[in-house]
Amino acid sequence: MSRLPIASFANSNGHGRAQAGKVPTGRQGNLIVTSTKTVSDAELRKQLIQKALEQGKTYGLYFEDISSGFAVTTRSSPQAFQVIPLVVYRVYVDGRPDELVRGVSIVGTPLAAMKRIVDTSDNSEVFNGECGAESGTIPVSAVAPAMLLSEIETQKQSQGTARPPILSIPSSDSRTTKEAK
Amino acid sequence: MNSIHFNRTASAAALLAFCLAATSAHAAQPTRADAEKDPVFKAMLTEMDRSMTQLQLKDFAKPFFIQYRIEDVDNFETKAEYGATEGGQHSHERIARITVRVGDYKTDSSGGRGDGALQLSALEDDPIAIRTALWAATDQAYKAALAAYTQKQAALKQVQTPPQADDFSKEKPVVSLAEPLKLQLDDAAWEDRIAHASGLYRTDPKVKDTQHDVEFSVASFSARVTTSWLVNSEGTIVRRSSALYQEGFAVGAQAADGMRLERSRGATAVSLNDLEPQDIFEKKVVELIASLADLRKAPMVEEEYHGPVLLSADAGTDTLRALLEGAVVATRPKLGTEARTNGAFASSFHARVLPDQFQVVDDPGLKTFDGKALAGAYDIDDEGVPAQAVDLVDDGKLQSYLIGREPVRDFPQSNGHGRAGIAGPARPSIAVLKITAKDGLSNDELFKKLTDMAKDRGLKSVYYVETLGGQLTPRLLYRIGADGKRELVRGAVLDDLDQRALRSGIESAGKDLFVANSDGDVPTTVLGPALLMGDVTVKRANETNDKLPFYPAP
Repeated sequence: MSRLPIASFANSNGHGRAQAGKVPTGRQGNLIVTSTKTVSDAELRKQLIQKALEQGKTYGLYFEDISSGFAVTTRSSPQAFQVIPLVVYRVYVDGRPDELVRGVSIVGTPLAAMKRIVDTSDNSEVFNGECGAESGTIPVSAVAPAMLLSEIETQKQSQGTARPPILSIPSSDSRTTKEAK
Repeated sequence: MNSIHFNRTASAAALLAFCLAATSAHAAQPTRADAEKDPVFKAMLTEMDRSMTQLQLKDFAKPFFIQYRIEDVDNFETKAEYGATEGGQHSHERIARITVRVGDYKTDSSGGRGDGALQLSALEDDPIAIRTALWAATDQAYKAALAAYTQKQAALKQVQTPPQADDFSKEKPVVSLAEPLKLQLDDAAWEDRIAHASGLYRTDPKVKDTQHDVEFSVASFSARVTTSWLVNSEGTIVRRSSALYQEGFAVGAQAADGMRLERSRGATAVSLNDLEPQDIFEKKVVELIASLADLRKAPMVEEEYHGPVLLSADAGTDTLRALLEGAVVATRPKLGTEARTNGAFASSFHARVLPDQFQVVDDPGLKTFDGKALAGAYDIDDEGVPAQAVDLVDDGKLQSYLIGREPVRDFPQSNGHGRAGIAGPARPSIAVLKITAKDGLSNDELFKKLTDMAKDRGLKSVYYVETLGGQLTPRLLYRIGADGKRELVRGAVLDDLDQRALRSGIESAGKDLFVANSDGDVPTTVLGPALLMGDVTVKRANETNDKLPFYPAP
């Protein structure tokens, strides 16, 4: 809450934040998410495989790292979010090695997605980053454990069709000059 | 005080190479081998050669022309308001502009402004880093050129009238290696100087009584050293270096009726020594502040006036710049038309554009005038073509245009006026535009003629414009009575100052030329005389008068 009251909340709780030159609004500071139902990372992975088996799938997805994400919060549009992952693995139920995949993003609506958290890790990690909203870009932190979701929606990322460079990148090694295609 | 970074990694060997190149430039014509001692040139030439020989998409045309231009821009700016600095900042970067043309000299891929690609290049002389920036942008520019070439072929099929000239001129390669300049400044001293100037409205005894009327008082200083390396696949290799310094001041207030009033001045110079010394600059600043107080008290101009107006050499030069700058350059006309070029003088070749007694020449080789260095001067243009003096107007008739490497009808070659703003594409521009009139009059003679005209036409008063602001709006405008008495007036705009007024409305011109250095897209200079115009409209601007501040400034 900033000093702009809303229904049922008459006072600021010291979260009125802004980028230089902007009007402050209620913004995240250090968002800390804890869980009372935790297991080890190894156990969480076992549960992922178990869930995939139960759902008749050959693999589950493990999202290791993401680049960014956003949520639509206006009343005139559906409340939806999208997360752009960087490192995603298929974790196969038959014991094959994990397979790195690309071009997938996570989409959904926040409440539906949150309801499908079945377990969390006993190990939390810190995210420091910058977050943009009405009052500009400000530094924020979030602390949360790994989470296992029983179900999540993914979609293919858009991809360009640009032709790769015709000549190879310059190098001090003249032999790497490839022939023009 | 911040230190100046320039060529941070230039080793002793590299500096020595510069010196050797410069020495040999004096001794004999420099060669590619001389240029390659400079690591930037070495990287550019290596990558250009690789692209010329190997860059080709299967079944598509190869480039027939590649040009690389890298500009090292070292910049310092500081600004102050109300007597205190708002800080200074340095920026230093190297920007590469890559041009790739496919097709041939007659019909190539060039289209509108902005052909080519841009890329930030390494500030250090790291050959692989420089080449990689060039490689990425060359790839992009080549692919864009292929697309543009196909589009042009399609467009050519739509029009009956063929293009009136080739797309690109053939020019003799030039190798020229000027020594790079360095930006050397005492930042803190400039910040102080600017801060002091911005506070004169409340510290100088001559004007501090009117300090409560001032609404803004801003001073600024900027310094820029640009070194550019240009190579093209025809064999041109050119290194140039130039500096530009600007000092400016602006002060504003409102008259009692709410009219906004502003006075400003800016000095543009190619060396620090050419800027005014601090005491002279501040003396002029105080005069500006004092003139603002006079303007606040000045009566409004009459509702409308038609008749003689004398433009001072300062105002005359601004007027000539506004009317000639865009008109004397030749640019490719719209496809499918028989037009020679664009703009006000598109069809004026060999026609009258000024009265008989006028001569106009653009001479980039004119480096000083009246002891003052000219910002528009240069030896070689931004397309690697040596600058030429061009007789534009002879006895009032337009005899030529300023042109770069994009020909127009009857002008197949560049005359060395292809000029580019930082990181921008080259296009024709004025350099040092000098306008003179035979039998020019002294100021006294001009004023006498002005009042004589008033008497002849039975006018109670006539007008004298001392300085102009933007859009040819008078800043200092005087009403001159039949008895020669001057009265400052405010709130006027001028009308009918157009090509026709230039052609047939000039009664007389002054003999002394005003030097107006300016930094727009590129630095330019206009040298022009005072102009006595026979019939100009002076009328009220009638702009919205905002409320005055509710209480005076602190």
